[in-house]
Amino acid sequence: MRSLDRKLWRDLWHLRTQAITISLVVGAAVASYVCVSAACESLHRSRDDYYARERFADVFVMLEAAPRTLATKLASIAGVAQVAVTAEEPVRAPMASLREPATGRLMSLPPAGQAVLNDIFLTRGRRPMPGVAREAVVLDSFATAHGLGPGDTLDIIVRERLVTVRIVGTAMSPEYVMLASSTGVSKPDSIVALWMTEDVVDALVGKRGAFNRAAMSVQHGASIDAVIASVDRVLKPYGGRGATDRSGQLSHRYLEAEMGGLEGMATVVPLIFLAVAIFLVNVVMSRIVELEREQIAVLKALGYANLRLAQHYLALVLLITSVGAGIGLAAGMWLGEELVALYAKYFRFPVFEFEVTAGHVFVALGASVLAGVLGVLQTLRSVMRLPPAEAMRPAAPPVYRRSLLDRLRIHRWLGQAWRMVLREMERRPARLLFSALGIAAAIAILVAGRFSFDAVEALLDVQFGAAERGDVQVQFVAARPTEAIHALEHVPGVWRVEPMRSTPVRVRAGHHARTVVLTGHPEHASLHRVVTAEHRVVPMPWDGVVLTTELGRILGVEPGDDVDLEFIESPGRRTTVRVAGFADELFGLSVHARMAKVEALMGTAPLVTGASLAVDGRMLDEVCERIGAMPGVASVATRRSALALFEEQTGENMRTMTFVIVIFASIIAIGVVYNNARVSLSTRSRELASLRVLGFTRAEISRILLGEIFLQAALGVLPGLAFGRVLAEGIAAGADAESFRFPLVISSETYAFAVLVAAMSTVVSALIVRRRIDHLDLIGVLKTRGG
Amino acid sequence: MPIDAHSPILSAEGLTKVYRMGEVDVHALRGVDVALGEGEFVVLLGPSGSGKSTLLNILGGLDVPTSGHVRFRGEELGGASERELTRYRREHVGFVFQFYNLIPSLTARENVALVTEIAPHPMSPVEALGLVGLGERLDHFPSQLSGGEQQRVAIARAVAKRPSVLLCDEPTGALDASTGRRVLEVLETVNRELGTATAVITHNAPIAAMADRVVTFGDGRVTGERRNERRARVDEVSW
Repeated sequence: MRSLDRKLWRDLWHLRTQAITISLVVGAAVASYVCVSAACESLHRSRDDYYARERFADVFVMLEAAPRTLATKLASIAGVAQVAVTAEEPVRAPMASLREPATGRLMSLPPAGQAVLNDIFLTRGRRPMPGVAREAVVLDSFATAHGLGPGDTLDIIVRERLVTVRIVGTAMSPEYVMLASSTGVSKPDSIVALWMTEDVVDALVGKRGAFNRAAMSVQHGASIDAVIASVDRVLKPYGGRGATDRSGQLSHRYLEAEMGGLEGMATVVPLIFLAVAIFLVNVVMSRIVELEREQIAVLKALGYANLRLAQHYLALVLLITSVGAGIGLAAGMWLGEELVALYAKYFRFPVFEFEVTAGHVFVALGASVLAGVLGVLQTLRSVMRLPPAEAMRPAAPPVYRRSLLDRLRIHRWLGQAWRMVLREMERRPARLLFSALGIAAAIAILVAGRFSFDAVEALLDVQFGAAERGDVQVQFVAARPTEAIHALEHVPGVWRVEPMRSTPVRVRAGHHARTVVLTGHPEHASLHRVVTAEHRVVPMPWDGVVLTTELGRILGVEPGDDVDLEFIESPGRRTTVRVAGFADELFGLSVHARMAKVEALMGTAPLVTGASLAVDGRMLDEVCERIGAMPGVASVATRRSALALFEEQTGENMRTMTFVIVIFASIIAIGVVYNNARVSLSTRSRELASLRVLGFTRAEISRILLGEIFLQAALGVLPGLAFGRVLAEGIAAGADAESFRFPLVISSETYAFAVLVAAMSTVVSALIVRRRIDHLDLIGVLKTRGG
Repeated sequence: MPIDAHSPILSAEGLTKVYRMGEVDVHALRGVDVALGEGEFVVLLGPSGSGKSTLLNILGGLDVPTSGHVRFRGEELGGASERELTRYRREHVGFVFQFYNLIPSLTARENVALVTEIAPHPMSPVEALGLVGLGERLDHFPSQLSGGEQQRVAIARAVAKRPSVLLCDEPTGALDASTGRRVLEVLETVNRELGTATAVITHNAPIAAMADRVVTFGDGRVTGERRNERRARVDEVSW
C-alpha cells in the first residue's frame, strides 16, 4: 500500500464518528430511494404483467341492454382490437360480521370458460361449468376475509331477491387490484365480486342474450378517444352510459393515484437527504483541509502534484459515501420488503415481489458519489490552490468585524461568551444557514411523516364525532315501509331512532357522470348528519339536492344548475334535479336530500333503508342482539366497534411509520449538529483552551460552544415547521380526491413531537461534544502552531 | 557574486516578494542576489522576519517571486508552471522545516516512503533513516519520537530522493542545543557523503562556523557575505 493510502485509512479511522454520521445520512438517502422507487417499480411490473396476462381492457362502457350480437359491430370500430360483452348486476351480500351488507357485482363469464378481456385468475377451485345452476367463482379477498372457499355457499341479494350460490372457486381479477367502491378504498370483507356463467346470470337477471357492459382493448397506436367516441355512438340507442378509458375503472384509478404518490416520495425524500449529505461533507472536509494545511503544503513541497492530493481527499470522501451507499442499499432492500409486504395487504396481485434492479443500485451509487463530489468540490479547489509556501506560515487570523449586532448595540446586553457565539455565527452565515436548514429538514420530515395520522384522526373526528353520532347503525336488506322504524323504537333501551333512505344513482351533468349514493335525511336530523370539514352541519334544502363539493367540481356544476339522476335500482327511471348547494364533506362523493324529496324523485311511497339509533349505553349489547334477530335487518353495527376496528388497523401502521421517520430524522439532526459541533470545537479549541488558561470554568466554555449549537438548532425550528406543512400539503394533494379529502390538519402534538425529536438529537450530539470539551488538552492545544 | 570553487547550481537575481498577510502588505524581499554552488554548504544568517524563509521558499519552488529571476542549472524557474515546479521539487529539492512537518498518521518509514515512492532514483527508506541514525525507530509514529528524532526523520525524508539541493529552514529552531547538534551532524554528513548542495537558514550565529560560506540577511536584503577559511566540526559549535 502506498504511503498516501495508509494516511487515507488512518485519517478515516481518526474521523470515524463523523464519517459514520455522514455515511448514515447518505445511507438514509439511498435507503429511501431504493425502498420507495424499487417498490414503485415492483408495483408497475406486477401491474403490467397482471394486466397483460389477464388482458385488462382499455375502454369500458355500461349500457341499458343490447343483444350480444352487437359485439360484432363494436369489434368493427376502427382501432378496436378485441371486445368482451358481459352481463353485470349489482349485488349485496349480507354477512353476519358486517354492519352493512358487502356490496359488489355479479359478472358473467362466457360459456367457453376464459374471458376474452378482463379474465380472472383462479386461486382455488375451478371455473363454473356451463349449464350447472348457481355455481360461482368468488373474489379471493372477500372469500379469504370471511373464511369461504370452494364447497361453501353464499347468500347474495340480486334485484331484491335473496339467492344462494355455491362457491366452486376463488379468483383474483385485474379489475380488483384495489378494492374500491364509489365511496373509497374498502376493506376486503365488504367488497364482493362473483363470476357465473352467462346462462346462469341471464336466468338470475331475467334477460336472455343481452349484455349491459362492454370492454374493449385498443390496437397499438390507435386513439382511445376516437374509439370512445365511436363506442358511444354505437351504444347510444341501447342506453349507453358513456365509455371511459382505464381512468374510469375504480381499481385502476386508485392504483394510479397511489403509485403517483409513491413516485413523488421516491424523489423528494432522497433529495433532502442528499442535500444534507452534501452540506455535511462540505463542512467536515473544509475543516479537515484547514487542519491539514501544513501536511498538504509539505506533500506539495515533497513533489506531490495537485491532482494526486485532490485524489487523496476525494477518495476519503468517496469511501465515506460508499459505506453510506452500502448501508443504504441493505436498509433500502429491507425496508422495501416491508413496504411491499404492507402494500400486499392493499394491492391484490397474483405475483407481487420486491426486486431491486441493477438500475437502482447504479442510481443509488451514482447519487452517493455525486453527493460526495459536490460536497468536496470546494475543498478540492482549496487544496489545489493552497500555495505550499503560504501553508508553511501560520494562517492569518480569521477576519472578524464589528457586526450588525455590534452596530445595533445588542452586544452591550450580552456577556463576552455570547458575543463570541454571535460573532462566530455572523462570520459564517452560510454554515449557519445550512445548519438551520438541516435541522429544518429533520423537523419537516417528522411533521410530514406524522401528518397523515393527524389527517386520519381529523377524518374520524368529523365522521364519528359530528356526522355519525348514533350509537347503533341498522341496515335493512331492502327498502321497507316506515313501520320498520316503529319496530325499532319499541326495542327497550332505544332512546331515539332516525330513519334514512339511500339508493345508488348515476348522476350526470353534460359529459361528466359518477355513480354515487343518494341519501334521504329526515327533518331535524341529529344522529346522522351531513357535516363539513369544519364540523359545520349542512341543512337539507326544501327543494333540490346537496352535492359533495368535489362531486360538483367533477361534474362542473354550480348551485342553481341542474343534474340528471338515474336510479340504478329502478332501471329506466331518470329525472332532473336542481343543485341547491354543496357540502364540503371529507369522504367520498354523495348526493343528499330530504327524505320527502327522494321519495318524490323516485316516485315511491315513504320507505326506509336503514336507521341511526341513540341507545342507552348500559343496554347496548342487548339492543344489538334484539335488533339483529328482527326480520329484514341486514346488519347492526355499533359506533364503538367501528372506531375500535379503525384504530386497531391504523395503530400498527402508525407505530412502524413513526419509528422509521424518527430514525431518519434523527440521522439528519445528529449528522448536522454533531458534525457542526465537532468542526466548531476543532476550529476554536485554541480559543477555548486559552479561555480555560485564563480561568474560565468548563461550564463557561461549554456554554460558548453549546450556545452556538443550540442557537443553530433553534433557528431551524420555525422554517422546519413551515416546510413540514408544505410537505403535508403535497401529501394531501396527492391523495385521491374522489375517495377522501385530507384536511390540512396538523396537531400541536405533531409539531411538538417534531421539535422534541430534533431537540433530543441536538442534546445527544451536544453531550458527546461536551465530553470532548471536558478533556481539552490545555497545554497541548496551546503548544501546537496555528490551526 | 563570485562563486569560486563551486559552479552555481541555483542562483537568484534581483528577487522581490510582496505578499498579503491578513489585511497587511508585507515586503519580504527587496532585491536579493544569491547563489548556491554544487556541493556547497551555505548558511543564511539573519533575525526573524528578515526574509530568509521567503527566499528559501522561492529557491525551492514553493513560491514565486513578485519580480526577479531564479535559475536552477541555468534554467529559469521564475516563469515555470505549477506542474514544472512540482516536478522540480519532486526530482531536485529536499526540504527540512523548523517544525518537522511530518505526517502524524504515518510512521517514520512511511513518512520517508512518501518521497521514495514518487522520486526517480531514491534510496530506500531504511537506508535514509540509517543515514540519520534512526535505523532502530522505523515503525514509530511522530508522536512517539522526540523533537530531534522527528527532525532527523524529516532530514531522512528530504535526502532519500538524493536531491541536488537541500534547503533547511531553521532546522534546529525548535530543538535544545545537544539535540540540535545531532541534527547538524546529520546535515553535515549528508553534505559530505552525498555531495548535496545545502542551504541552512538560521538566526543562530554560531552555526555559521560550519558553513563554506555565510550570507547575512536583514530587512529583506543581503547585508553581507563571508567565506570561512575552514569549516568547523559540529562539536566545535556551541550556543
